[in-house]
Amino acid sequence: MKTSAEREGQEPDIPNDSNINLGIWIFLLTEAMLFGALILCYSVMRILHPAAFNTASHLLDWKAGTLNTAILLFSSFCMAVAVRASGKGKSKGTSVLLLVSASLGILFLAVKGMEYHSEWLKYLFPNDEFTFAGPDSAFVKLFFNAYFILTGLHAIHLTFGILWLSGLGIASWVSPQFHRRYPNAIDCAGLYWHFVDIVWVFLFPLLYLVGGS
Amino acid sequence: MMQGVKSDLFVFAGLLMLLIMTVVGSYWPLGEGLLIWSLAISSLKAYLIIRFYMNFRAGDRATKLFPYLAGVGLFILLLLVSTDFLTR
Repeated sequence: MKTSAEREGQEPDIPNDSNINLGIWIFLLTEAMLFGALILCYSVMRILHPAAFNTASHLLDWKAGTLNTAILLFSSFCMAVAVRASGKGKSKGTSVLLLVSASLGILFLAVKGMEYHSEWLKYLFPNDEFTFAGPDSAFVKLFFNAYFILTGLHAIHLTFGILWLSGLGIASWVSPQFHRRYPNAIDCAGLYWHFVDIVWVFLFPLLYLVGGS
Repeated sequence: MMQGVKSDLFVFAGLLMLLIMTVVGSYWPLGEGLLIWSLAISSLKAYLIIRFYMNFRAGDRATKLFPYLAGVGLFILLLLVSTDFLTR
């Protein structure tokens, strides 16, 4: 059913810019509470079992974690430039930068997938086959439970971000009018992408460097 | 626009420097201080991203309120959990 504006040949009603921005910030606030609560649970477990968590942390590949952090930071830079290009109405440039950011997100997931595969082969996935020969095996398993929950949830968020950025990148490439019709679409995607980056910035040292390199 | 991109590039370089500092710090014999060191650098990285990439200062008053609210919410969460944890 057409709105009155569409019937009269005008642009359909688009919500006010500041309302959209406010909406995404409220959403990010709830996300911060979600990840904050999980990180807090992890911290309590770490305080209770420091030796086991330090041992378990050494079993992770910190070089892959560092590479992934650099990839996400670079994708954030590309996203920031995409938002600037969008503000200037450069639809092709914006599109390319959005797709580069999404590709870097895919690269991050590929590295993470290789890490998961390596941990699976070492029987470190916390299921019935989990094997750790050293002391505090139960608490090392607890660490890996926390590790897979935190990084898995982050990967799900990143996957959603990749889909969002890819969709915007394609829309921006196909329709040069996209920025004029939806001026805040890329800003909101950018805020979400940067938030996902911030979450990883905290997860990286907490999980990978907790016991020292 | 080039001026803005240049500043974004400087922020990116700063973030990479902080990443290197995080990794190098993990080789120092800091003990439990390592966690504080790592979290302090992570907070600095988060500040740079929020301040420069998320254009925090460009938002209106209502929008600016929400990052602070997130901070207050996380602080209350931390306070309640630590009170429960320490008094058990």
